[in-house]
Amino acid sequence: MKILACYSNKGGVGKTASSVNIAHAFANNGYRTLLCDLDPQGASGFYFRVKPSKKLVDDAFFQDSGRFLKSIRGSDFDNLDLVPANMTFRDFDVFLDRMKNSQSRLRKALKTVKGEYDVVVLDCPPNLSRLSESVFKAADHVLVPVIPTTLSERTFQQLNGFFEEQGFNRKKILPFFSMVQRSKKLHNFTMDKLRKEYKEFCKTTIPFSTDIEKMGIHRAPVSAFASSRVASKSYQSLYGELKKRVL
Amino acid sequence: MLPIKVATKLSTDISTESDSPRRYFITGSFDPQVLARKLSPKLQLQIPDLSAEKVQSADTFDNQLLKSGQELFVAESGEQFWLFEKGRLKLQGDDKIALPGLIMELPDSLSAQLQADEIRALLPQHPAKIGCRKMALLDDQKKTVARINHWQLSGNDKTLHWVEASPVRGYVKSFARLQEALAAIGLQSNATMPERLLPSLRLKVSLYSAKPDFKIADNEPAQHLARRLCSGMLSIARLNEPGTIKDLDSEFLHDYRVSLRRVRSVVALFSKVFNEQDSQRMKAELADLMRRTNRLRDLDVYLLEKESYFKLLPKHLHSGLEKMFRDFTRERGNQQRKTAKWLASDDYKQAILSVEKFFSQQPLSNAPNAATPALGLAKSSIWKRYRKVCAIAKEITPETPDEQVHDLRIQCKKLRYLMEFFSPLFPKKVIKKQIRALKGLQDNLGRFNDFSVQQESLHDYLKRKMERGNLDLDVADSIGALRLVLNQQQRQERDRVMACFARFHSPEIHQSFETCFDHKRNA
Repeated sequence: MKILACYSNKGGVGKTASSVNIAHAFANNGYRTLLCDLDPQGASGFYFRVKPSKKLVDDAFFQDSGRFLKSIRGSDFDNLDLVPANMTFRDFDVFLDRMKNSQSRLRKALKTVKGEYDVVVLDCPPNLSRLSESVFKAADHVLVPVIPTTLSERTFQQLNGFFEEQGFNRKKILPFFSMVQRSKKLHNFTMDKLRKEYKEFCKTTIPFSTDIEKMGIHRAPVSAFASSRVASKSYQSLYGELKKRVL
Repeated sequence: MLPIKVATKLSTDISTESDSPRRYFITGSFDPQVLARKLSPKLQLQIPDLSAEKVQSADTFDNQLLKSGQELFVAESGEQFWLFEKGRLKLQGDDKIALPGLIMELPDSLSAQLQADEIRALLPQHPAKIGCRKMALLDDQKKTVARINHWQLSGNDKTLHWVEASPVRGYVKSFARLQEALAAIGLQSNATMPERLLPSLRLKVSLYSAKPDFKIADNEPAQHLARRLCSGMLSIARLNEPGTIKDLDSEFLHDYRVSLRRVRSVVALFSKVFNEQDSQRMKAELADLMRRTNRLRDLDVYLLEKESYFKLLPKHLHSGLEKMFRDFTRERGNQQRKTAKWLASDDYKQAILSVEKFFSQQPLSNAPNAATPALGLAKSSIWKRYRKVCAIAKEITPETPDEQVHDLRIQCKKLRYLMEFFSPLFPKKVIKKQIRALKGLQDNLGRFNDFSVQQESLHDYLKRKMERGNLDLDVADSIGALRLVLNQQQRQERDRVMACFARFHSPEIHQSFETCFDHKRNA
């Protein structure tokens, strides 16, 4: 079972869209996949029409494996299940603070489903917190969507610095460009620059796309309603790259 | 989606039993709308149309699949299949499958699952229709919370329905609501679901053959044999009634008619085995039964041969043919309805029962050859007919009128029937070789006759259209041209008759007929 975290310390970079579409791509290719929504806003669940879990509250996620298992919901797609989030997830930091070995707690919780899934995708909230430390520890790979702008460049550098400082394995970081607008000079310039500095960037870039925005209307992954469109094809291509690098 | 079983203990009041898929076998029909009305307003049942695919069941000649609890259905298009095991779908695919075909030549995914010898061929067996309606139970977010598959299998005038309900992980309560609703419309989970589907349709899964081999003892009294043969063939005719009524395939009517014709030829060709009065009555009753379906069979043949007609004419003459075939299709529809009504009527049942009764009655009636041993009757009647065939054929020259060629055809047909009826009494290899030689001649004569009949019936069609005053010029053109082509083809067949007879009447075949059937010589 491989754990892939979709993470960025900056908001609005296409984390949830990426989590949803990457998880769907793995499932669609026959991998038993669990998408775990760690973001209290519960956007992943919304895209799959799954309501927030009522019973997986407070520290149950980390302490009560029975509750955790019961909160898993089958999606409308083969091989793809979900753990929906709820508002109590915003207090994860508080609970983790109280627990011993807080960094290992998330990995331990996910161990419950080992053997049931080939891939677990974590949709993470955008901050550097106790929870993100758990994520970096638990994940085999940390997928980082990066918008090719100056601010995003800066936060990506911050993330790399944080990994180094805290002694996390920097090789886990797997960045890819997101919400790319080829018509913008700045986007192209930033991408060239970052690719030179960080060789680990995926070749595939995810374009800025209204089809991805429309996921909110269709409440489904982009390839479920616009499979022939560029957005869907880029996620397919990203999946192909990830499969080689992470499985 | 397949629910994934949770192996860990659940600290809840809901047992794992309640979230495993359920099956409901339905006696009668199933209307999902009724189920939908029993669900709470928060749950909505998404109901797509049920489209059924025409399929054929397929098995080895000795039903190896059925014996091991498997049933395979192949779409008529040959591009889809369903494999059931103990009544449950085991495998479904859209690989190309040709029937009949060797198991070892099937797609690996399928052949690996089949419990039958690889060297065996799969034969098409029964026409049926199969359909599966995949329904989803949605919550107020339009999220699928349970799945319901409605299966339907029909054939032989019967339809089986069953429903499979499966939970979606994490939606135990919705699944429980669904089970309650299913119970409320009177469905019992896993109730008496048959392990085999075909027998539940009352399809004869025994070995069906339009011309089964009958075992005959050399000394079986001729009338006893004749009754046995006729009763057997009548039951085959009757097996084909439901398929004919349902219009599943033109083969049903064809086999029905072949069987009746064979009964009639036993009566006509087993000379003096029945008394004169009885055999006249039977011949008349059987002829009457046959007449009822003549036109439908003719139209079936036209429609089956439609493509070959078009190939005979250049493209600019096709429009007339199109019109004619439209008429034929319409007329066939009428004839089919008429035939179906007739076969389901009390008059028909009485008529066929009267024939069945005659052949099953005991004791035997008096007739000069009633007690003649089968072998003796076989030899004398085949030898007599063979000599007749030879006598007529030898007279035929390029100048002989067509009537004599028709006569030869009829005598050959009678000879063929006799040889087929009595074949179990003679060495298989020898009789097979004789029949093959005879078939060569018959094929030639058959084509000669077909071309002549076709010209006549085209003429009749033309005449009818003229009389009704709705004959289009292009139809007249096409039919005129077609008759000309058919006439040329008939002439070609006519020219080959003498050569075909010479091939049949080779010294070797003649010798073989003499050895087998010349009873006086043998005696």
